[in-house]
Amino acid sequence: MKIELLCPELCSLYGDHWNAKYLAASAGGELVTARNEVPVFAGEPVDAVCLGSMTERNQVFAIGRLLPYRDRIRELIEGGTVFLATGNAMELFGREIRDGDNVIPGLGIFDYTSVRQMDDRRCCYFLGEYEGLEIVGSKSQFSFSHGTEEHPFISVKGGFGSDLETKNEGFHYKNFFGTYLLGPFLLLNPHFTRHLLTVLGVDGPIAFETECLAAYDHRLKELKTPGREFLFK
Amino acid sequence: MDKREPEKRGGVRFWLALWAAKLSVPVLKLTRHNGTHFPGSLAMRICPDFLRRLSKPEKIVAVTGTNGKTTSTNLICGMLRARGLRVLSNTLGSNMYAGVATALMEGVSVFNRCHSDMAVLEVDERSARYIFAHVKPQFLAVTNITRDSIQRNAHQEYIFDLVNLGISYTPETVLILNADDPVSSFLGETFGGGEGAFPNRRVYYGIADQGQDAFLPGVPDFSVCPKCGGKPEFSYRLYRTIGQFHCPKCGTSSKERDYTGLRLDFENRRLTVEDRSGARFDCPLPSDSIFNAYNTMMIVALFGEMGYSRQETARLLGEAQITDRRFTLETAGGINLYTYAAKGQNGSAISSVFEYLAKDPSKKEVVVMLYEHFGDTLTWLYESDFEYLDQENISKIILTGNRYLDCELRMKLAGIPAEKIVCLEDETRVPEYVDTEGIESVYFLHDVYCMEKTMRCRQLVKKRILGGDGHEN
Repeated sequence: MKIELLCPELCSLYGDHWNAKYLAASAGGELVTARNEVPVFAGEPVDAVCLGSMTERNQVFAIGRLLPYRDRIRELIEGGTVFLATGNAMELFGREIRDGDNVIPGLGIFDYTSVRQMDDRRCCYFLGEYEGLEIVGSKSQFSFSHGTEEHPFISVKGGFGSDLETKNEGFHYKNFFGTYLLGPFLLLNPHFTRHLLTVLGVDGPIAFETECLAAYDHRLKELKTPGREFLFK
Repeated sequence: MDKREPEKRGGVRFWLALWAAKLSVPVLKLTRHNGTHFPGSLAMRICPDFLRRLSKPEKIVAVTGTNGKTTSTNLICGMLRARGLRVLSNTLGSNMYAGVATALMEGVSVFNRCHSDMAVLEVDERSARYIFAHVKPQFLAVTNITRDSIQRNAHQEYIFDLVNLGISYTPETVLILNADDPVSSFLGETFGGGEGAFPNRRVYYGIADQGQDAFLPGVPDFSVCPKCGGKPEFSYRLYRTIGQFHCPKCGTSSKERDYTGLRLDFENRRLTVEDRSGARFDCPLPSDSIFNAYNTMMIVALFGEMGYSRQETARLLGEAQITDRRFTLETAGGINLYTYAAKGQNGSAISSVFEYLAKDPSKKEVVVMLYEHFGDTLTWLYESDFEYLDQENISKIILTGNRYLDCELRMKLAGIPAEKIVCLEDETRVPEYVDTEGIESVYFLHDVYCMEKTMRCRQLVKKRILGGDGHEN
């Protein structure tokens, strides 16, 4: 099994690279990364592709690197390859990113649009649900995506969604999972990681399952404390 | 905000604000409130452009950056005060707009006459744009711009832009920049260098290759060339991504230095400096950490630009001391008990401390006491290099604080053997688990918010080592 960590030098801003490392460790798979900026998936099959948060200027570099492989990415997603995009990595797959008058064309795989406002950052702790699994994490967003409603990923219980009006967070299509939740999403959500392993056809425990679940339960309890504030500045 | 707006003085609202703020200081003291930003905040509520109208010392130095600004500001203040100058500072208070207003307000009379020679202001990176609209320092010294807590600073590129916006309000300020920091060294110009440089004069400091073997960061603060997105190559690094780089793709490279630390001698706490004229001189180092060596170089460059002689700078540095809130050392029964501010949530700062203690060859134990003051995004755990702690001479790591379970998971992912890790929900039990023999040192790594707990804990460990009342016989 091959897990590709995509553009690690651009897309690991908040420790998001740990998702690929943890998935590979849990699945007993091999962690692979690009050579000379050419993604591994371009030349050989991979089972999962992970990419994560990046700075806004790095989004432009990342789109530039992935644009030549747009058709291949579409083919992989349609074929059921697992994609996990955390933080603003999700925006790369949409139609465009608007920042005032500046419009950055995305990969155009999906039809949503992201709107960036660098002077209006929104942050929250997050509690949500995906297919009965409670999802936790945190978000820090300069941008929001619109048009993700048709394929929502997580329903919001605490915090905000892909935009401030919706109660849905992220984008889920086949085995593509995009979420604004930051960083080590799989380590913070062991039940979802186990779900992902099932999708990948792997049976058995996740890496450091006992420790991961204990920390998750502790955090979940905190997030469910009555009167808990989710938004922060 | 109009960058060219002339300085205004007086006005009814201003006088009311000044007097109310002045009056609030003794009231806060009487009621035992620690209001280091309250007077400034009150003044600004009465008179929104209070800071603009307030008299200021003729000479102002501002210090900003992600890590090291409090230490540096304290050192600069101490050095200037040792020279007999009346120096205003916010070192004990807030580094945001209201804290700066409070500090400057304390330096004027009720008639708004400034009676201080200088101000040395620690400026929060996010507040730079508001503060520099009204306060125009002669010098702005920048330590570095690295990753920081998401809650506070989002990411380094965002902070770079905010500091740059602040600089754009004060074009005559001389910028003292760290040439070895590939992010902050580009301040005063558009990110990545080249077009659009600001009119500010820029002075660069740094440290030459010391032949050291800096650990590789898992999540670097600088991983792609800001100009072209290419992979930068470092000719050397002294820690993290602090060093000299060039981009093979587009040719962007580190800045040329005006002040270079040629040789670091940590053992004797000496630093050999070469200035732009080629003159070499020796300076004392107030600490033996590489990051404080950079703070020292920044101060050498600043004092050089302020017109101090090399001898005077060296003499003043010799008398300077690092504030106890960051680093302390006590010895008990031959065991060194260090406390170190490790700034949880700041992956870069905590990794630097991990590297520092990993390179200390003593046989040691580490107590990690990190408490989340504001809540917690947890991403910092995975931006930090816990892998550095996987050393043979670290025999035990004791974890406590409200994230001890997440820390345990992270330690195990870092490859640290389970038998070395002790997890404690109750921090009062830490002293029971620290060994009192067979080790040479104990490091207590703490967040800035749990200084007292840490000191209490160390005192109890000391007591266990010495027996009885905890005093050496």
